[in-house]
Amino acid sequence: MNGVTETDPQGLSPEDYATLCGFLRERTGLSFTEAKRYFVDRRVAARMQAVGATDLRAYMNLLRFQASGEELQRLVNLMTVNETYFFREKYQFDCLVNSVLDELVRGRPKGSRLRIWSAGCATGEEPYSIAIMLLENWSRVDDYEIELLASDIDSAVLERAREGIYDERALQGLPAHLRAKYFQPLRGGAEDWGPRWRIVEDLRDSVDFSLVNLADPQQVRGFRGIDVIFCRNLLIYFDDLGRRETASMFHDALAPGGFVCLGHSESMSRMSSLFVPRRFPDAILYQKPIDGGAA
Amino acid sequence: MGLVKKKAAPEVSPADAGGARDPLAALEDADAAVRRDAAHGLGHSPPPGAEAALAHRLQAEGDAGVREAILTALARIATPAAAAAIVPFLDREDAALRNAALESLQQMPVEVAAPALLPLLDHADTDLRIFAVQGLGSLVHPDRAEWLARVMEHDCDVNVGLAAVEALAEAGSPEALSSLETLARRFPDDAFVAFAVDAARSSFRGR
Repeated sequence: MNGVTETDPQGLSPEDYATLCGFLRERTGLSFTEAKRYFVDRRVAARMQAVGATDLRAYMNLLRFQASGEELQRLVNLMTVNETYFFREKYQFDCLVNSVLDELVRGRPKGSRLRIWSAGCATGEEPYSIAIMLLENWSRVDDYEIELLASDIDSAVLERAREGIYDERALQGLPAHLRAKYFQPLRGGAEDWGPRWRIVEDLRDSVDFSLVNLADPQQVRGFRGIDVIFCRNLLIYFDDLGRRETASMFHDALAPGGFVCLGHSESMSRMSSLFVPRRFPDAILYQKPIDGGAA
Repeated sequence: MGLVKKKAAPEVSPADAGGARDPLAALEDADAAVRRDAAHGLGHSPPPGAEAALAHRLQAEGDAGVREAILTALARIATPAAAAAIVPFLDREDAALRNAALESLQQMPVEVAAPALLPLLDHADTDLRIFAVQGLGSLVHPDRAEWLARVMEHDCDVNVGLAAVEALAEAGSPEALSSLETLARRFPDDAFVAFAVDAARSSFRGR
């Protein structure tokens, strides 16, 4: 491949950076300027190390020619990691309220409890989105006690999640009437931060945030009888064995018949054989067998 | 009803915490969750004899989650003994267990997985030879193409040879072209061999 030089241990050369960014723009539409240089360098270096690519030429060959496209997807996911916002990949929330919850409560008496866990919730957009979707779009929301759990390994982002303060970008996917209903504009500091909104207290009080390292079984022991786990675009940071262990832990945490919802580029079948893929009109989820998988 | 107001985060009760219980003993506990946690712990901090204990438990284990945890633990321990403990599960009737065992070997470092899989290329059981080819074909090792070439040139079963073709075609190994031709000559009346070899040949040339 022309124009690709050896990787500088301090980062990509200007030519390599341009080549990579051009490739990513062509394939994904993502655009990275020179200002994003450090951000891109770190992530590319991490992926090159993970796949054992000794130089950018080898890594670019993998990105271009890998039949599955898996490595390109991983890199893209890393590049978009900070792009979380309300109602991201909303079709999965649609799946929850249109199909999954009705199936889960079939045969359950009114008043029984449903437990939904947002694992790797970062700054809280996901669990709050789930809460809003439930309140707005699941007609039986008042028939059941719904417990929303949310966890992350990063205490700083959890603190922000509990505060529930968001900027315009985070709210870009939210219809205006929902913004008006569930958010209050924050006054003061607008010159520094731009417009910001705080999620209403009632909703903040409905999500139970906790600091959890998914790789530590002791820390996840309290999560039992979960009906739905959202764990989207998180396991890409784990190695193969870590993913298997986490899938196994989810299996343990779920109630029989419970579901795992992964990111759109992730597949449970590449991690574990403990789950059964279920295709719903809106999305594919992974279900713990009703019998728990006992042989 | 509706959304429940939050309470304290899920707590770990002292009884749940596991404490200082011997993980080898916990591996035989009646509670599947305890066995799963024990396997997880053994994978991260294996005492002497952990491989044998995990393999012994795996023989009898009926819970899919615990079996997965045991195989993952053995893959993480990744000693020759751990690899040797997994190999007997490659010929199980239970396809999920068999596949998980193969996957666990593939997730071990190549210097551990390859010595465990290579002897299987000479096993009398055709299925085991196919699994060995699949396992070896996924490893990143300088001798990988040579192992697969040997299969194509010498294995008496056409399906084992085709498994090698498939493994080669996935990664692209133009240096194996002559072995592909040999396989085609060894099974001249098998239309699928001709098709597979032709497809692999085209694939290599396209790279």
